[in-house]
Amino acid sequence: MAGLLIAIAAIGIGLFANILAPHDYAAVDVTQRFLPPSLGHPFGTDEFGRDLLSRVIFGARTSLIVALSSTLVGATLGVVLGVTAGYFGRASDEAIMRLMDIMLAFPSIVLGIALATVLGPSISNLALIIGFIQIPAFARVARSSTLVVKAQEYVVAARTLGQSNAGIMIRHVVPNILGPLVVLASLTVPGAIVTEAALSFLGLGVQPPTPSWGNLVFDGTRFIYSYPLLVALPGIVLSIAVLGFNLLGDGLRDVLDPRSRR
Amino acid sequence: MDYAMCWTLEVGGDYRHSQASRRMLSGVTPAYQGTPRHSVLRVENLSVDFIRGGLGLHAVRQLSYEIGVGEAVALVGESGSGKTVSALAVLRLLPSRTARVSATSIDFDGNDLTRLADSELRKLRGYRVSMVFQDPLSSLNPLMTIGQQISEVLTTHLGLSDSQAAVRTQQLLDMVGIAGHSRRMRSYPHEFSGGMRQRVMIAMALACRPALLIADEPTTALDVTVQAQIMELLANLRKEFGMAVLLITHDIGIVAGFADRTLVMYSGRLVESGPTENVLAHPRHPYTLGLLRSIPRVDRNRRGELPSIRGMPPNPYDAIPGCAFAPRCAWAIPQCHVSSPALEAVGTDWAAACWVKPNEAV
Amino acid sequence: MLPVSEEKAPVRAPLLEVRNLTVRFPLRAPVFARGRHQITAVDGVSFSIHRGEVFALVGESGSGKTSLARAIVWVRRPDGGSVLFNGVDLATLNGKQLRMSRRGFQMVFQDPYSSLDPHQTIGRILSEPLRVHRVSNVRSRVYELLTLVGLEPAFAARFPHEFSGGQLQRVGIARALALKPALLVCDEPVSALDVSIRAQVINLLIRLQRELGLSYLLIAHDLGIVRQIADVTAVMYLGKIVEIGTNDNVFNHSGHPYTVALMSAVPVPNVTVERNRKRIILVGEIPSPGVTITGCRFHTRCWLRTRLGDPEICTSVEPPLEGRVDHSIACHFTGEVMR
Repeated sequence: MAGLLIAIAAIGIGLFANILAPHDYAAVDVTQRFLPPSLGHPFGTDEFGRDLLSRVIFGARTSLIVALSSTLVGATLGVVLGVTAGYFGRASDEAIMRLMDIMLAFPSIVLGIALATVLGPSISNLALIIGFIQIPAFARVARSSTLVVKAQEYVVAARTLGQSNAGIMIRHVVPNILGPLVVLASLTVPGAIVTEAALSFLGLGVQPPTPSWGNLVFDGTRFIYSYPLLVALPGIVLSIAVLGFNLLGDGLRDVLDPRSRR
Repeated sequence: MDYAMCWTLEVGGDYRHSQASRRMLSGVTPAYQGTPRHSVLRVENLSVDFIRGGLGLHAVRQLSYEIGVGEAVALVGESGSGKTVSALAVLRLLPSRTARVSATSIDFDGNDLTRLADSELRKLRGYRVSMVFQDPLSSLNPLMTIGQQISEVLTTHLGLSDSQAAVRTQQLLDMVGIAGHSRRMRSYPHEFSGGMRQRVMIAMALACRPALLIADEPTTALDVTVQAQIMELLANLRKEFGMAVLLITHDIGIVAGFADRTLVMYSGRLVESGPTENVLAHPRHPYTLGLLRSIPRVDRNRRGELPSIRGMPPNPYDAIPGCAFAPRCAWAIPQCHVSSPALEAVGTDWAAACWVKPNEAV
Repeated sequence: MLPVSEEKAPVRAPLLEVRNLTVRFPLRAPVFARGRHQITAVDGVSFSIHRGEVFALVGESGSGKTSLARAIVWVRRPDGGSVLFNGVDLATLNGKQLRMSRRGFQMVFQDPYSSLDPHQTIGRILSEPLRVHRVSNVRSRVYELLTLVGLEPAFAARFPHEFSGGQLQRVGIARALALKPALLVCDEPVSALDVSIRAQVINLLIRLQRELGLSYLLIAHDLGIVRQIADVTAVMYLGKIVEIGTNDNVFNHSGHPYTVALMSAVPVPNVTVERNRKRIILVGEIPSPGVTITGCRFHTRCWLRTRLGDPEICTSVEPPLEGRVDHSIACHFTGEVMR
């Protein structure tokens, strides 16, 4: 429940960033640098005199756009590959799953850095890259769930009715494996936020002046000794959001998985 | 109550219980609810309710029955009739969080199980009373060999040494018809077929020569030819050991060749109980009659549609004012929908819970 | 199979003809050894089913009856032999033709809980075959189907978990009937149901067969049901038919020791009958299909072989399925069985 509230709050903040933010996130005012939190600037200001709260609020929008769209990319491609592998089995299964193993062999951050270097930094590229990294996880879950569903007699029944393979996959397999995938997706979102933060931190992600939770933390580290609030405040918000999505994932698992139901 | 007694019984033969049972079987059967029979289990007014999400489910209502020493009793009912739940309740094996069990008394082998401490009851289970379940694979530990699992029962319950247990395990495997001991004892459950696993379960259940064996659908997962083997094995072992058997089954077919008495349950209540011969040939409860008539029989040249019972068993959450079978009953009279009939004697040791008690042969 | 139908229409091809059908499964083995280790689940089975006939296939688990059914409805391609429906070999059809042909033969499954998609309403489940085959008036046809199997049309809006096993099996039967097939393959259609519900579903199948002129391939282990409704019965053991014939012949003049043992193993709910019956209790269980058995495949458990003093021929020569058109038996000593 707490997870759901936090997740909804985070998405709401991202959606209504322009209404909620008290200031323009890019408005530079050199006379107002490093202000401590006050009524006008609840989170204070940064090294260019920009309102930190507004930057955190708009950062939510960037980070969540990247996290959610990358999860959508990863889930879609992963499910297509996983269901294909699980449903057809044999050679296609071997080929797809070995490919996934190869992708998993690289640490995701290394893979991300390599791809980001090639594609160049932009929000849409970032979403594609992080989505790409997530494919194997979705493919594996989709494949193993498909194997279970495939053995059910209603799949055999659909075949005796003359339903095509594509029809069976869309009408019977996907709806029946959605539960575990939704859980996985909600557990993937925090990972994507962190990866986005890491890539932005390395300068390969969201480019200034656009704020994201990742580059806010990165920029703040330069002043970690002189003005630690610049790291701490976005960091805390990021942690709460990650925690929220993790809790949401656990909650969804309990709701959707009949085995964990009391 | 120590291993010595069990051991002497095993070596010296089945004197005490089998003599009693022989008396029971040859002697005149006591009248229903008349003179107290020499019973191994006597259940009085057992009720079980399950509490789920604020809803109360009456799984067993006011069940009373008795099993004589060495007697084979069949408890017949469909899924949801309460047959398994009632047996688990007797041995206090239901989860105490969701199940509310009440009974006037449950007398087993001289112990009142309603008052017995948990630790005392645990000593009885597997020792004086043991169970065999439908699915032997899930009742066996997949990581232990068959030999280890049988020996474990012997060493924990009877305090045998490892070498004594090994010898006894071989005897037990012999007894249940598993040949080639040394290899078999080192096998794991998955290497056995369903019938073989059930034999292992029976060997474990009989390891301490219990006074009562509760067999819950022991042959449901097996093929007919294997079912015939297991039922024959159970019948032979019962005679040899002089133990009582409570056979829980949905298949009224298998009771004919096995049980002395048959109890029929419907929707949590006992609807008929009596000598198997009478209950199967000339049942006095419409449910028993309908059930028997609806079974296609391999020994008859009968073609076409079967006389079937209409409708479905009631939802256990629904409160039915009268007889639970009335909505499906072809004999129902207005009274049946209003008040629930109690068990009434219809013959020697034979009773039916019905206002009408139709008098027709199957 | 039935001589009667041949008298009436000698030229008419059977509705379903199975010729020398073989189904194999690879055994789990290391990659390099694959293909060498196989088990033969169905080993050269032949029979035919005529229009309006109820053909029963009896066998225990491991006899290959379910593999055979799956090969006949062409969800698993057989490894040998052919399936002819209305005289057309299914192997020769392309995707579109096969789909058309499927309208003629449909299947009813054993477990109504697993054979209906839990995420779809009853209406959606019943409309699937209609949509796949582009049948018009889907809604009214769904209502018609529900009524046909004795359910209320209002059930169309509900989900499978709201129903009992017996009701779900009726839905399964309705789905199989949606395309107006000539043949229903029923794989253990009532064995998952409660005893008091079984007779209702059996009666429904009998009524539908009569009213719609259907043919059934009934796969069952319950000999009582087979005796009640089948016209022709085939007994399978380890992938082969060991006895086949009209119901009267198979049940009243059983000629294979396995058939005799199977019948004697079926319990009868009557104490007097049970006491006076000749009981044959087989030793052991059906061998794993991976094990190679020379000679008669039943010899390891055969009571007759023991009684005859282990004749050598039983372990060396596999008996062929032979006899008359209305009764064939695969046993070297079938004359001894009858005695």
